[in-house]
Amino acid sequence: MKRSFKGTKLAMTVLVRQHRVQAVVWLVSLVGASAAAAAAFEGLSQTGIELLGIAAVMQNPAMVAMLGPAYPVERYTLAAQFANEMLLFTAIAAAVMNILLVSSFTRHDEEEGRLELIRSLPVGRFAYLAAGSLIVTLIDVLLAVMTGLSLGFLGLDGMDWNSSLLYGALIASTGWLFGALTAVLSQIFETTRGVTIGSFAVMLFFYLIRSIGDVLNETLSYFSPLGWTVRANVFDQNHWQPVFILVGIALLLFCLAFFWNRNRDLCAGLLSDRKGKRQASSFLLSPLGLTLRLEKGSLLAWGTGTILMAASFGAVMNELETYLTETTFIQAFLGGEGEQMTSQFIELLFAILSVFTAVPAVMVLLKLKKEEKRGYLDNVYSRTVSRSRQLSIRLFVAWMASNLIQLLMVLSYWGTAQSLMEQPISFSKTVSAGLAYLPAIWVLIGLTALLVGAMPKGTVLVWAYIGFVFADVYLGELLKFPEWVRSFSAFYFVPAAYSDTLSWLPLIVLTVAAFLLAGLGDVGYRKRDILPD
Amino acid sequence: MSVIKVQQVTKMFGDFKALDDISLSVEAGEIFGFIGPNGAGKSTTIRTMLGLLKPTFGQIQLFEKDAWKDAVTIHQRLAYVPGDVNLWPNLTGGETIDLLLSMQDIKPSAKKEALIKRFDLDPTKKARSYSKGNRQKVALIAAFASDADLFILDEPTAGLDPLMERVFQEILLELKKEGKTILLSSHLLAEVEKVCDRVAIIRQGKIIEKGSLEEMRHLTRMKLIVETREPLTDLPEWEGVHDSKRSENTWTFYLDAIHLDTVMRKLSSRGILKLESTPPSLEDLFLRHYDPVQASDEEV
Ligand SMILES: Nc1ncnc2c1ncn2[C@@H]1O[C@H](COP(=O)(O)OP(=O)(O)OP(=O)(O)O)[C@@H](O)[C@H]1O
Ligand SMILES: [Mg+2]
Repeated sequence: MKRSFKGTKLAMTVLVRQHRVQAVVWLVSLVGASAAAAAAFEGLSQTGIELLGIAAVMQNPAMVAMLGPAYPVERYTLAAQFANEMLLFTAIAAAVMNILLVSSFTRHDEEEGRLELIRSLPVGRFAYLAAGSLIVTLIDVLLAVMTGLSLGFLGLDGMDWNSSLLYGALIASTGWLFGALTAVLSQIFETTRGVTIGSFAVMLFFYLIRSIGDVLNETLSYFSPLGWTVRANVFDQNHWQPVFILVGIALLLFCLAFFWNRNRDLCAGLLSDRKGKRQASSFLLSPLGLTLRLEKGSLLAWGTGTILMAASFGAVMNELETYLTETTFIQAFLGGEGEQMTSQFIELLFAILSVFTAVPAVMVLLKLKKEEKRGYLDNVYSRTVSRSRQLSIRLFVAWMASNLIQLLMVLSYWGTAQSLMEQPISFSKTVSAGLAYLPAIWVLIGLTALLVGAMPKGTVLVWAYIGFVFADVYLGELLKFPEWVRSFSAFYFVPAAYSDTLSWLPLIVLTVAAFLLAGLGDVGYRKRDILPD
Repeated sequence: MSVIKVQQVTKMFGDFKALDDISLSVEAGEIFGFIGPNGAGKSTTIRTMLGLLKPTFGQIQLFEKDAWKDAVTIHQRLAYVPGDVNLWPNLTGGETIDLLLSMQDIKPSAKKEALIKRFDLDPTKKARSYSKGNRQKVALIAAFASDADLFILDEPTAGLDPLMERVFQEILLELKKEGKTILLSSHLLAEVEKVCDRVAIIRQGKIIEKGSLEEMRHLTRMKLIVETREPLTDLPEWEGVHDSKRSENTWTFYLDAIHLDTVMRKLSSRGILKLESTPPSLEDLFLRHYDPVQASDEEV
C-alpha cells in the first residue's frame, strides 16, 4: 500500500510548477473578493432603517431561492447582510476553482500524456492523484484561513473571530467537496471536458435543489451540500456542524476516487468509447459542421443549465406574489411598491443569467486558441481555409448560440412564471428585458475574438473581465461602485427594459462596439503567427 | 521552374534567431531532401512556407505566389503532413480524412479507399485511441488522396513501421513519376538517399550545404587502409589526409574525395602492397555536419 503512494512528493513538485500561477491567481482573487466586499459593506454606513429594509427584501422567496434562507429581521447586522449576499456565491466560486484545478491536476494531465511520463518513473500508482488531492486541500486550507483572518481583522458589526473563521471554513469546505467530486468524476470520464461539464452539472443540480428546498420544503435542502453551507447561519448562530459534514463527505468522495483509480488503466475511464463512422456525414463536411460537432456538447450542457435555472426562478415568482400580497408590513415599508420589487428581481436575475449565457459563447471562441495550441489548426490552415473564414465561423456559432440560449432562457422563465402566477407578468416586457442583454453579450464575444486574434497570450483576461462584469451586476449597485469603474462593464449600459421603456441608443452603441472588437480581432488574427505549443 | 523559392529568410522568435538568412529553391518534379539536427529549424522553415509563420525578413514564394499573402490560393495545389500529427480526438480516422479533403474541396474518391487499404488503417476508430503511427497514416492518406502538385512532408515517417515506410517510399516514387514536387524533411538518411534528388542541410538556422547527392558525395571523405613497401612517414602532412593512424607499415586514414587522384599517385610510387577503401556514405557527411565539434573544425 505504501508503495502505491511512493513519489507523491515528486508529483507534487511537478504539479506545483505547472499550475502555481493559476492557483495563486484563484486564491488571491477569492480572498481579495471577500475582503474587498466586506470593506465595501463597512463603508456603506447604512442607517438602521436601511438595514431593516434590506433585511425585509431578503425575506422574499425569490431572494431566498437565489441566495439561501434570510437572516431574522430582528438580528440583521451588517455581518448578516454580508453573509446573506456573499456566502453562497463565494462558495460557488470556490467550488468552480476546485473543479477546474482538480480536473487539470488529474484528467487533463492524463489526457495530454504528461502522466504517462510520470508513471514510467519509479512512482506509485496513486502518487499523482494523491499529489493533486493534497495540493487542492492545501489551497482550500489557505483559502479558509486567509478569508477568515481578513474578515476577522476587518471586524464588521456582528463579526467576531469565531464567526469569521467559520465563514472562511464554509467557503473552503464547500469548494473542497466539489473538488473531491471532480476527482471521482475524473475516474469515470475520459476527457477533461466530460469531467468539468459533469461536475458543473452536479453543482447546478445541488443549487436548484437548494433553491426549491429553501423556498418550499427545508428537508429537500438537506440533500444538497449548498443547503448545508447556508444553514450554518454564520454571523448569527454560528453552527460548525455543516463544515464537518462537508469535510466528511469530501473525504468519502476522495476515498472513492482512489478506489476507482486503482482499478482502471491509464487514460481509460470507466465509460469507454464505441466504434465510430467510417465516413464523414455531409453535415460534418458543411462549413459549420465541424465547429458545431466539436462544440455541441458544451453548448448543450451550458444552455440547458442556464435555461433550467431560469425556469426554476420562474417557478418561484408565484411564491413571491403570494408573499407580497400577504405581508402588509413589507407593503407598507416599500410604500406599496411590490411591483418594483418584482421588476428589480427580474432585472437582477436576467443580468446574472446573461453572464451564464455568455460563457459558452466565449468558450466557443477560446477553443480556437486551444486548437491552435494543440496543433489541430496546422491541419486546417495548411489547406484552402483562410483564417478569417475559420474565425468568422466560430464567431457566427458563438453569436447564434448566445442568441438562442438567451431567448430560450427568457421564454422558459416567462413560461413557468406564467403558468404558476395568478397575475401573470407581461410577456413583451419580460422578453425585451431579457433580449436587451444580447448586445452586451455580443461585446463579450467580440472581446474574446479580439484577444484570440490579436493577443493570444492574454486570453485569460476575458475570464477576469467576465468576473468583473458579474461582480458589478451583483454588487455594483448595492456597494455603490464609482461610476467610472462601473462604466468598464458592458452590462452597465444595458437599459432596464422591464421597469422602463426600452431605450435603443445604448443597445446600438454596444452592438457597434461588439462588431468593432470582432473586426479588430480578425485583423490581428490575419497578421500573426500560428504557433502550437 | 522553381516551385518553392526561399529568399534570404530570417525568422525571429523574440530575441532568438530560429532562421538566419536562408535561401533555397525546389524545382518542379524533384524530390528535395531537407535534413539537419534537432532544433536546426526545419519545421520552422516549413511552417513559414505554409504561411503559418510570417518571415521576419525575406520572402518565400510557392508557385510564384507569396507564401504569406496568398496562402489560401497556394494551398489548393499543396498537401502537407506534419511530423507530429494532432487530430480532433473525438472524430474517427475516416471522418478526419474526409474532413481534411473537404477543406481542399475534394470529394472522397476511390483513391482514398485504395490508400486506406494500402496503409492498412482502420478508419472507424476515434483519433483519441489511435497510435502515433496510425495518426500519421491519417495525415498521409489525406495528403496523398488530394490532387496536389506539391507535397511538403515534415518527418512524415517518424511513427511508421518498416513495412509502411516502404509503402510510403513507393508512393513518393510514383508521385515523382507523375511529375509532382516533393519536399521531404527527414532524419532517416537511408530514406533520403533512396528517394531524393537534391538535399539541403540546415544547422542552427543556417543552410550549410545544398546540392545533388552526387555533388555531396564529392564533398565527403572516404576511409582508406594501405600498406606500402616504402614507409610513409610524411603521410599526415599530405593534402586532404585526416585522422591518420599507423601500426607498423599499415596506415588507416580519411581522405577528402577531391584529393583522391593525387594521393593515389603518391601512394603507388611507394609500392602498394594492400589497399582497402570504404565508399563515402551520406551518413559520414551528415555526422560531420551535425556534430558541432567536428563541424567547427571544418570551418577553421
Ligand atoms: N515558438 C517558438 N518560440 C521560440 N523558439 C522557437 C519556437 N518555435 C521553435 N523555436 C526554436 O527554433 C528552433 C528551430 O526549431 P524547429 O522546430 O524548426 O527545429 P527542427 O529542425 O524541426 O527540429 P526537429 O528535428 O527536432 O524537428 C529551435 O531551437 C526551437 O527551440
Ligand atoms: Mg521538426
